[in-house]
Amino acid sequence: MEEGLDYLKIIYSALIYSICSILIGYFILDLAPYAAILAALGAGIYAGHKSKAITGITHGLIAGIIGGIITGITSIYVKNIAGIPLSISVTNLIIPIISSVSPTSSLFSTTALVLIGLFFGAIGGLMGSIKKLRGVFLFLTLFLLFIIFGAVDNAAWNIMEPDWTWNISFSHVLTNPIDLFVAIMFAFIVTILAYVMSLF
Amino acid sequence: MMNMNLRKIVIGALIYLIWSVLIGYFVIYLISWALVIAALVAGIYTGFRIKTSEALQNGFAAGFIGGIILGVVSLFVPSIYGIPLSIPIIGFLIPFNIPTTISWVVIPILSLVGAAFAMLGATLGSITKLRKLFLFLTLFTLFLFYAALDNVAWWWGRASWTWSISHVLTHWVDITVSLGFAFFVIILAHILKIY
Repeated sequence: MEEGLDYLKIIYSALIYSICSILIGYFILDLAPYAAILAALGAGIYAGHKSKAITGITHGLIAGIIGGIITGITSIYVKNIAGIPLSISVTNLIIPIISSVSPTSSLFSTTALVLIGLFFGAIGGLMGSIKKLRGVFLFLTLFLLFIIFGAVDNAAWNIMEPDWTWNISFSHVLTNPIDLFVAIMFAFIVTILAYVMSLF
Repeated sequence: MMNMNLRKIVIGALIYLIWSVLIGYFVIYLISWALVIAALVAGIYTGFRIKTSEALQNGFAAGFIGGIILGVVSLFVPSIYGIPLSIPIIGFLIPFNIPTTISWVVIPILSLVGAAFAMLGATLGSITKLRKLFLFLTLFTLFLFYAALDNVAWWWGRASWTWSISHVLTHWVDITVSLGFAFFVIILAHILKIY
């Protein structure tokens, strides 16, 4: 019997793609070139979670297209937040690949986001549907959670400083390679622990 | 009939041991609560996805064994890199006016505290509707440990670094952010129906 599409899952996945790529692009400069890819993979894995492979791929693909359009439109209408540019990683991702492309082209950015979402969303959807790869889902989720938590924690510490203002471009120093390294290692340890404890 | 899961008990005892040592070593603001938090987490794990009667037995065994190991560790490893490994015992006992010198007397106290709170945790863990509590508590401690590790990594390269900084590794800012973020993730997991 054919498995139907879960539209609620597709909408949530599209939102995950959109919100995660914006969060990573805004807070984590070191990951900016990979933000759209990471976000699309994460969204795809959720979209394919506990589904059959073909349904997972379809979910991921549709979510990637919708999420790409949402992110593209957001980047057109919301240029910056509190004075800090909302790069959403597209510019960083495209410049090294095609140096002749104008990074300011909004239409091009939206198309690139849709294509990235479509491709990596489908791969994530396939990964999510494979039961044995659920450890990857946990690892990626934990890594993203730790790194975003690190950024929020650093922001909270910065806000406590007496000379704090939103005008300083602090957001791009909220995380650095040390945070990334610790987040990767800690996510790896927790995934191994969860596996040993048979939690997934 | 005793129907205990030995693997779960061993891992539960290790959780109680390692969690309380980590919290006692890194998170001075939670030192009085480290034993309780560690025993609750260990208990919730041992009671996870099993019947309440079995969960209580698992929790009791894990807390009791974990407490004995913890007591022995505290006797033979008084400090790490010159920093006292108080293992929250002192912090926990002070409000009750119990002598805080670490000795053999501490072992039964640790075992009894572990067994009591692990049994409570195991009951919570066995109740399906309360499983989000397990996720919340786990995420909270994970975020806190990540913050502590991250702070260590940041301080490591500095010229002024000494190990004595470890007791300011986490601050109430980290604890507040960890609590808030763990709560936020729980809500998200509920909406996304992941858990």
